[in-house]
Amino acid sequence: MKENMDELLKRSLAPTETPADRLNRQILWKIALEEKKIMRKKTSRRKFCAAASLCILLLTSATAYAAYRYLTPAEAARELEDAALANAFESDGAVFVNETQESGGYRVTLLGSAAGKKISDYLSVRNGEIRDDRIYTVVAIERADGTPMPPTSSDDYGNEPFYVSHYVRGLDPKVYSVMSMGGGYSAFVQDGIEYRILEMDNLEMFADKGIYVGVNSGSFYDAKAYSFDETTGEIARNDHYDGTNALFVLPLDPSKADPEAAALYLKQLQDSWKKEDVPDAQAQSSDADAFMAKLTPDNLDLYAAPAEYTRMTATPDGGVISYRYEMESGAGGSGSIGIDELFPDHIAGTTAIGGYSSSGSLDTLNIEVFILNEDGTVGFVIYQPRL
Amino acid sequence: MRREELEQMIRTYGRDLFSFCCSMTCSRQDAEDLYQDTFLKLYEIGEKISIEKNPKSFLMGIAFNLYRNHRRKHFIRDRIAAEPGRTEEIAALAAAKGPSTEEQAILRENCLALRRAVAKLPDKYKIPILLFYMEELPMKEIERILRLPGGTVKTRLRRAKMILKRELEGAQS
Repeated sequence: MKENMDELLKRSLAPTETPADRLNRQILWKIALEEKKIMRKKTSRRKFCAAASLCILLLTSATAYAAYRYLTPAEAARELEDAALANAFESDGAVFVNETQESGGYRVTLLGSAAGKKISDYLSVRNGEIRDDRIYTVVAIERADGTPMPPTSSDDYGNEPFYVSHYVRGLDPKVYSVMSMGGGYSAFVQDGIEYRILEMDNLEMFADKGIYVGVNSGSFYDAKAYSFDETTGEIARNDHYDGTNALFVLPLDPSKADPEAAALYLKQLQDSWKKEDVPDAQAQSSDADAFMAKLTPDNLDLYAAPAEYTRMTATPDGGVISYRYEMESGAGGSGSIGIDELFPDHIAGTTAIGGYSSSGSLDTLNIEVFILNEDGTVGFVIYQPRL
Repeated sequence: MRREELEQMIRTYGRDLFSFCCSMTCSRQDAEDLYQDTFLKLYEIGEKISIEKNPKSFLMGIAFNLYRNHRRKHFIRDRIAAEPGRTEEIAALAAAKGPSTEEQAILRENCLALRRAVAKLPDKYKIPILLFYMEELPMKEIERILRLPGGTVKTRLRRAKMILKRELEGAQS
């Protein structure tokens, strides 16, 4: 029986559990990330070659500890309770980059990307149309001095804004970015690191041209952060930029390019911009429109109240300002408009008023108020009707 | 340790380690965490410690220490059996290597009963059993991993087998 028992135990307990491929990939991914960090540390450590070996040993272990601080893209998606996206990040089609750049006091790491149809549990809707063919990219942003980023629940969150977007080689980043290409992002802060999951219309069709991921200081694209060569279509970092201006190349598979689909997409996108500029007939006759018709800079405060948290100052770039706001309800808007259009006379102190209501009724009316400042910047704030 | 070396370790010992983690934790999710942490730990300390002599034993040692520390810190929930479907599948796999037809059916039942009985063992008996029968490590290595004298390990293995034999006979009757 003893022999039988030994044999039976060996047979019963023979290792048969195979780890999932995604688990092994995740381990190797974390190691790859760590190796890059160590290489970066080693480069900067050469200056301190005279330091005691004990210190080096301590540094090494601190680096190793730091290795596992970053979440994987899948973990970031799970943190936002998007299981479908987490699976997409763990699929064979996902792209891992793990490249870190430092500028303007921040360290930005491009973690990875995934693209495809219906790969998220959350639907994106734009102009009433479901957009389910998307590209998702995860970046980690942390302070270079090691102090933690404020949590999203903190009042300080957003005091150091970042504009994160994909860009397409050959398309002017001032025009084609997250704001104009059906984009958005989700963010959270964990262990002092801010994670952003950027999403936009699927850009894989442009894979043969080249896709960038940029992270610049501010709430909008900043033309000072990057240069765009209209001849070659190349986008490059401006080394003298006073702020954060990370720029990565996303290594998408060029075989996924579809020039015909890309041309059609661009045409539809441009058409949709034109459509948005045409006033809606229904809106013309709505309550919101009637309300707007009686509004002047002088009676603005009488009929409407400012939502102070939307107040911002926009600096013109090439005669154009960009603005963005988010209401407490979660609704929001953004846009770009020429200074000449807003203030034809260029007189400081002039106020320009515009309005938009998604339903045509007053309760969804956001009144966009622009004031030209003496220094050429434009103050922006949203007013809402006093109901 | 370089990434290529770690990849080689995963290829060579991944299944052994993952099976060990599954049996030790009785939970696939916990096993995945432990498996990942073990390789990350190996990478972290791999440069400092030579693992050339017995890499598999070294790996199991890391997994055991992480598991023990985790239990100490978090009083990990005491699952007494793996997912039933999975256990049966494994038992079938084990039996498939042996004889056929009726004998195979009996063997399959015995394997199943034995795996369940091993899962129910207290850690002090279960882990020596797993290291000896599942991982087939030499006694000296098991002593080193568990930091126990040889006599104690042998006693635990003997007692564990007595318990398992009783359980098996109970299941058969």
